[in-house]
Amino acid sequence: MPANIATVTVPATVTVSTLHSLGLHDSARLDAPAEPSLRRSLARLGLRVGAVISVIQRTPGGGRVVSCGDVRVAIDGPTARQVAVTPLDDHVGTLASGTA
Amino acid sequence: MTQLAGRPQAPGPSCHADGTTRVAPAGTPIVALAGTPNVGKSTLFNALTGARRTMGNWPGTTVEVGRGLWRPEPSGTAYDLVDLPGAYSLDATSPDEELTRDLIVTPSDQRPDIVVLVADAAHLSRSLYLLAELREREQRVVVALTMTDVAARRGITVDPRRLSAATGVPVLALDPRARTGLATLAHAIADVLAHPHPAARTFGPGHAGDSLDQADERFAWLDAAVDAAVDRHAQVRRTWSDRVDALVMHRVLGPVVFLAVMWLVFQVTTTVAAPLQDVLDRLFSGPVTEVANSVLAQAPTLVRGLVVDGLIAGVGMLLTFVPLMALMFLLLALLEDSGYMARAAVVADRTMRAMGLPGRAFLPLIVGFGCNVPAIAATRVLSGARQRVLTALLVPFTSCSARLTVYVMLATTFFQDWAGTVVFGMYLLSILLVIVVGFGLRRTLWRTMGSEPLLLDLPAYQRPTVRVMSAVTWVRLQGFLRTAGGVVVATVCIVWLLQAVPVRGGAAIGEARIEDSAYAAVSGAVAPVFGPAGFAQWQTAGALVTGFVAKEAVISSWAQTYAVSDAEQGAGTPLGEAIRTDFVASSDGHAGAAVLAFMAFLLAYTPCVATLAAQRREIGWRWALFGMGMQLAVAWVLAVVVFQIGKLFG
Repeated sequence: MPANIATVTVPATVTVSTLHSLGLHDSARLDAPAEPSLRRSLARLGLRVGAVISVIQRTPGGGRVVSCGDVRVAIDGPTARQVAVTPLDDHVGTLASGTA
Repeated sequence: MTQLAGRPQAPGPSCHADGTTRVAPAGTPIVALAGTPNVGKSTLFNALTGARRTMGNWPGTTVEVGRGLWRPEPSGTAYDLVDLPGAYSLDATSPDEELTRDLIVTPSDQRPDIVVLVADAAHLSRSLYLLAELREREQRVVVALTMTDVAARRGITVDPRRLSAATGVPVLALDPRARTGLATLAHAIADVLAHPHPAARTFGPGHAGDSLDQADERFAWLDAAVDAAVDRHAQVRRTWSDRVDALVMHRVLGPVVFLAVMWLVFQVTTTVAAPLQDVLDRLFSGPVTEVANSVLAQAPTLVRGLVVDGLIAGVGMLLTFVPLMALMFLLLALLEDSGYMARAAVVADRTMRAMGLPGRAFLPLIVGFGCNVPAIAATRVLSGARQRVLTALLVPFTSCSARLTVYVMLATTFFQDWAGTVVFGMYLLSILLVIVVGFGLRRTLWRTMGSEPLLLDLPAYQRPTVRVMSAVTWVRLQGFLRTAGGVVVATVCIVWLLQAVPVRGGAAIGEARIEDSAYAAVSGAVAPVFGPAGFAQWQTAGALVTGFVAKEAVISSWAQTYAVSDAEQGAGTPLGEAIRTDFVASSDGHAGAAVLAFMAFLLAYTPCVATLAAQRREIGWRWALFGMGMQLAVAWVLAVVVFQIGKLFG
């Protein structure tokens, strides 16, 4: 590398889909939330890591109602932003989440 | 029904008290009903014991332990049946769940001999997590499957035998709403109790340490059991529940629907009940009073005064509200049993969040519109201690049904055709007060409070059953009648005594003019405080003082005061007219503004002593007294503002 060229590290942007970024009627697979207590709370209601969920309703305040089989769970907006998912449809909701 | 020793106590006297049932003798086998919230435990408890615990189609209906005697056959074995608050897991996250965990896990003579795990057949894997935990202990368990009809409609069939084989515990299906399968449950319990405790299930290799690992292992275990026992005949599809939800939880239309529903409830209540109320009014002021007068013609004036001007005028006036209260309770039961209330909590989440509260806190607040006492107990569904205190301080601003009686009487007297709308307006003001005060506390004393996520299981809508709705209505109506027969009768007697004792004029006891009585003197000392609000007459101040005991006493005190006054003057002025005259006099002709100010004060100040006691129990004296001071201050300022603004409009 020539001495007069500085090396610049360009932050790579990782796109993470969240429940909040999914569109109405989009389906996704639930990923493990970073927060163990959230993972436990979701699992208690039947929303376990790996489960396939669908967004069936947007609620006042940015919340979502998701279906997982016959289960219907309402999740508030801020929490929906913390729930990471892997979209199954062609829709990919993305969220820039810092550097790798 | 009684409360377990060493557990949180039942609410004090309230207009929302649960029914009672016999207590089992010592040594009777203890059978606990456990399971996730809203699977029908309390409905099953009521079906087995004949008790009347509160039931509703939303999570968190039961926050206290109920206990009653269950005797499946008249001469057979009796069981001490315990109804536990709903819990998804023994890993408790809120006080109501802690109660369930402690009772099942902590060794004591109150520990159940057998746990009946009530499981929702339509949501089996979620219902069985608790079973996985119970199977890790040497605990006798029977699984009772409910909601099999809901499951069937969704193409889900659960085979109890296969589920039993997969889990190692007896499994049976029953329907507590239709009261079928109860005998089978009794046989299964007797059979399990006749055998030794089962061996505890152990974790598979590699799952002994981390709690998340253990949870995964439990899920794998119960998934295998569910797969073995469940047949699905249909694909999951959009249900009619989902279609209704699309409207009632819509981002814009959802709040509008909520307000429209509540308006309809109060409009129907006031319109339909009015003729029945008139009939009862005529009954008490006519034949009942005449009969009492003739029977007591020879009795001392003092006794006649107590019976006619006190009990018949005071308690009788309150009883004219029975049809109205019954209708109101019925409509609220309809909303609760249908499953709408859980949706209302979702709609309210944005507003609740602004106050730092989760949407789930809306459920205790909704309960508060019926009665504040159980609403304060219901704050136990919240996991955060600071959120519980804040919610318990806001509950008294929800306008309970006792206040409704005063609104209706004043609204029909002063605003005739607009009565329903005025009453609805009071409920809007109540919601506004909760929001404004909550916002204020959040920005001051609760600045550092974190937020709690809303994760709310939405129950499927169900067709309300006559049995459940009538039971819920009757329990609440009984509470109203109990208040009328207990606290209000006692207050009437005290008011009567104070009205009979002269403090000036030199007349004998029972002979004095009411204006010279101790009651008028005490009320007159308080009255000037309400001058800026336009209702500084001693009659109104007296009613507010007695209203501190119970809001129903406001009406009885007024009725007593004006009945005595009428008797002295030989006049027969209707109560409404007498009140109108006094409001006109105290407000310089702005009676409408003064009445609205009075109603606002009534809405905001301390609901009753039972609510204060419930606050002391749940959040301690310090916060209870802080709440009382805050409510009085808010009530006075609000009343003054309403009157002063109202005067500007005539």
